[in-house]
Amino acid sequence: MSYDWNFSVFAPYWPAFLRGIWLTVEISVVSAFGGTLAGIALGALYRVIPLRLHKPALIFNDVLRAIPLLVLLFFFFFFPYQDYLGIKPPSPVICAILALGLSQAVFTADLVYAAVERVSQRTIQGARSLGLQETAIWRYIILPDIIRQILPTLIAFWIGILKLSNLASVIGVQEVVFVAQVASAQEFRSLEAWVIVAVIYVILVLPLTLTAREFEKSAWLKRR
Amino acid sequence: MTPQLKIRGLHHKYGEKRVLNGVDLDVAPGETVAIVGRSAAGKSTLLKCICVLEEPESGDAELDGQLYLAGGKPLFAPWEIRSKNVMVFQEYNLFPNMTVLRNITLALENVRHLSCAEAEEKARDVAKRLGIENVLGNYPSQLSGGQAQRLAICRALVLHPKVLCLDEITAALDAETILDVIDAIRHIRSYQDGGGMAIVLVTHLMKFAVEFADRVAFLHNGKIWEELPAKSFLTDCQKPETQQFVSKFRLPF
Repeated sequence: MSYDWNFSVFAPYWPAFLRGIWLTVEISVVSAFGGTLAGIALGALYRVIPLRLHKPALIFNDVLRAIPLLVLLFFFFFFPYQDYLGIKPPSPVICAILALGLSQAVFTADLVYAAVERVSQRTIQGARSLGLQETAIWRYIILPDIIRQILPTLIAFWIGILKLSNLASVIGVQEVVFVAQVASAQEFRSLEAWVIVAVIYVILVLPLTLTAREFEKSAWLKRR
Repeated sequence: MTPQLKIRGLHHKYGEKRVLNGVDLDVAPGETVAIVGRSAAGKSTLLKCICVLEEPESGDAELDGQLYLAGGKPLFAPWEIRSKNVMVFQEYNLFPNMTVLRNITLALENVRHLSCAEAEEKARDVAKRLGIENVLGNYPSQLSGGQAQRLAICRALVLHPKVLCLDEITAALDAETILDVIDAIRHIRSYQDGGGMAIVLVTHLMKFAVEFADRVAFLHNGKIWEELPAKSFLTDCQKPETQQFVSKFRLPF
């Protein structure tokens, strides 16, 4: 009694898998990068607005964070763009980038907001004592400190984005999981198809995880 | 002669606790004044108020005859005042994300607007005077306490401030290094424009105050209780509170 493994039926699909991998990487990188930048700006905004607005801003952020990514994907996919914005609905890829980018952004904003408080007041006072202006202090002291604080957590989230990006298959984005679904349905070889997907993700994710672990030990990160 | 720094009626409190209660102080160009007093007498607060790192409750201050603090409110942007009245902290307050060299050049480039090369040349020169030229590539976390303190002094000194406020800079220095630091500060003051830099220092080391300062001022009950030329402070002070404070320094150790 043994299962008859057969991967050869998927040979014709490898160009589709390669395109799927590329799309997975593209969606993940764009939404992680764009979402992080937007999140830093958003977190800084939550900090500079009047104090009485901090709490509402954070609650707004928490509400967005509570919505599952799958729901966000459907939201961006089914949003009546024509009716409200007068534009053609974006492609599923763009919808996926918007949803993943948004979840990255609200997560990052939360981190940044909290990190500002942990920047050493002494260091800031040291900078002030030399006559540096507040903008220069943000640039040379506060931002570098915040980045060191949040980077390890951000990297973990980036890797998470890479793994979550396959949810985009539900709105028809032809990334790796989508290709596997189509291929397995046509070849009646589901198990093998998912093993291929698993291997692809291990190859994508593992080097990142290992690099991240090394990075966490780096001296650069401790200079704060 | 117009005092380099003139302070009148400086008041400050933290919450309900009154710390400064009408401080008057004049410091002449090129003069060094040591502020002594019991711990928590408000010595550091006074320095922070001079450099507007703390906004005092009330009081006026003039720099070089120009009013910069009126009724406790700064009349210029705080960073403008701080670029002239520079403070060095007991806890160093260095920039941990930058090399020693960058710690020194950052304000030279961003506050004094020197080019990168000019800033570096200047930084190397003063660092050498202070004996930290061989750690310029290191990061603050790699420095000893004495090196960190000298770096803190160095990055303030290169700016050639009009008033240099030194808060307990001797805490991390051994006797030999203290002399080097005094020497370096004196040297840099001497070739700065007219030797005009005024120094206000806070210390609990009476020997350092007497050795380095021209004048010693005793801060008590939030006021300058008594001030005397440094050389005669220990022997000639008149008020009983000052004499009581000074008495413990007459012990034979």
